[in-house]
Amino acid sequence: MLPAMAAGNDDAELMTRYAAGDVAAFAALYARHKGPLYRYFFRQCGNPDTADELFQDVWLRIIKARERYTPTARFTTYMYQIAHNCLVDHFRKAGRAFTNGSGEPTAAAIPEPVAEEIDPAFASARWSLVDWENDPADSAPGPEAASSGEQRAGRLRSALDTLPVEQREAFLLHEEAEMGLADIAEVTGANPETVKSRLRYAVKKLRTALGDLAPATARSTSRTPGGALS
Amino acid sequence: MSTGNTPRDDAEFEAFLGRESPLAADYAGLEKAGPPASLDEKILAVAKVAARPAPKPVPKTEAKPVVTPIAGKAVPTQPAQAAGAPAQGSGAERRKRPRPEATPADDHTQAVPARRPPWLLPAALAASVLVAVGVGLGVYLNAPSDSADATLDGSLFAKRARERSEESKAATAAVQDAEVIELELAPLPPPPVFQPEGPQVQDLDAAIALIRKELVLANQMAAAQADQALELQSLSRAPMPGQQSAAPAPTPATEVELASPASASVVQPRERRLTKILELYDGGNPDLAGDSLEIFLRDFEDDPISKRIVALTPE
Repeated sequence: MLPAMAAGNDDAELMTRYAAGDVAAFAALYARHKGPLYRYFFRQCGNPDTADELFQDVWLRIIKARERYTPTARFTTYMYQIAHNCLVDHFRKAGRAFTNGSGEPTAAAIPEPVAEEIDPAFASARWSLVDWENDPADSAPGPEAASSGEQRAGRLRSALDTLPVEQREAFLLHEEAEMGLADIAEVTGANPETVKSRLRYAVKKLRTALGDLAPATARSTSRTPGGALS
Repeated sequence: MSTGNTPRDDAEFEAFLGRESPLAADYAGLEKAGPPASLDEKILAVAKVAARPAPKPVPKTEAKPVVTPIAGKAVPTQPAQAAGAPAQGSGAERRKRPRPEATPADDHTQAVPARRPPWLLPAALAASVLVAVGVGLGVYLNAPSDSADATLDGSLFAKRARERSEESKAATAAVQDAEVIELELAPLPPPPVFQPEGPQVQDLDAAIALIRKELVLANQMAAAQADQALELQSLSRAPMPGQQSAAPAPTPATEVELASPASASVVQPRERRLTKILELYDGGNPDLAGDSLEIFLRDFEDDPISKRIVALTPE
């Protein structure tokens, strides 16, 4: 696990250095957080173009507001607050409700992945369109997905897509940004107990989707010292 | 927590929160999507451009412009360390300052535009007014006498006013000298030459005497002609006996000649004008008589009297 406080202080220092004109500090900060932030948008929207747009918007806002940044809070919290606001604005413009007030999924709140919106090249590299179109419970492993790990990955992606936006956001912030309940609550503006409830629902649904497939033995990926996934 | 959760669910959730759940491992095993390289380059380029250090403005406390009141314009002098001085103050203060675009190399070479103190403009205006008043007083007091100027001796304004007054006087004198020289060098037009239009009467008295003599002769001749006409008329009106019927009737020409004896006695315009000249001369107006005589000489140039009068003048 990432030492959150040390990383937070490091991020704040990098941001302060960048505000003073150190471009290398920004490059380090960007390299550390670009992957999790991008996946946060990509898992939420399911559209690489939209993810690119929102991702760029967040970083441009950070660059623009560099002189106003004060290291009173974790940089990760600061950045994902901006990301959360961008995402809410995006859903609002798209005519979707980000929440129904209770955190339960609504038809409008669930961003349905549309196959036509996905760049095939991008999908083949990063996403599986087959898993989107199949229900996680009914999805059967194809001939190419022979291993149990691939089946679990496909089911997990599909189950993640069916989660309500707020539950999925809580899950992504926990996994990608490595935030605790308090930080997620601060980012989303919700009560920590509400965040805990959302996470509990999300975990239960994902576990249900995975079924009785053998779990992964260990976390196959390692995290960089800065917190970004490699 | 919530109803419907089994102890197993709670255990899995606690493991998830502690990042020990197999679910987290499964999620970590998914594809690691990331931004495209072009987007990375774009964002880093924007960050690089935005992070260019701006010229640091000089703090207000360091910039103390010096206003020279005797000069016509107040020129604030900047501290020597303004350009190229390293930024002072905390990071928060630096963040509050505007950051115009500039390259790092320019940061050491470009002059730092200092912000003018707010009191500089009123001070400059006041100095200008004082100078204007001083100049006005100096010019006014220098003009009549030196006594008034003496009251301002020792005053810097008066000294400056005297200097300006002298300069203006010198400039005015120089301009006037230049004009005089130009006038002297300019060629004068030739004086007009008077040409007499007619014969000049050099000796008016002699001319008057000739006129008087001429008029006497003319009157005598006119009187003689009138007497002859009367005699002829009387002879024609008293016919001799026996010759009345034989007397031829007068011809029209004879009638005209008989009817015109007065024409010989009628004063001609020539004699009338000469008479008028004599009247003017005798009336004490010799100038008018001379002018009338000049006109007469032009009008009756071929008249014998005119020739004799002209002959009186030297050639």
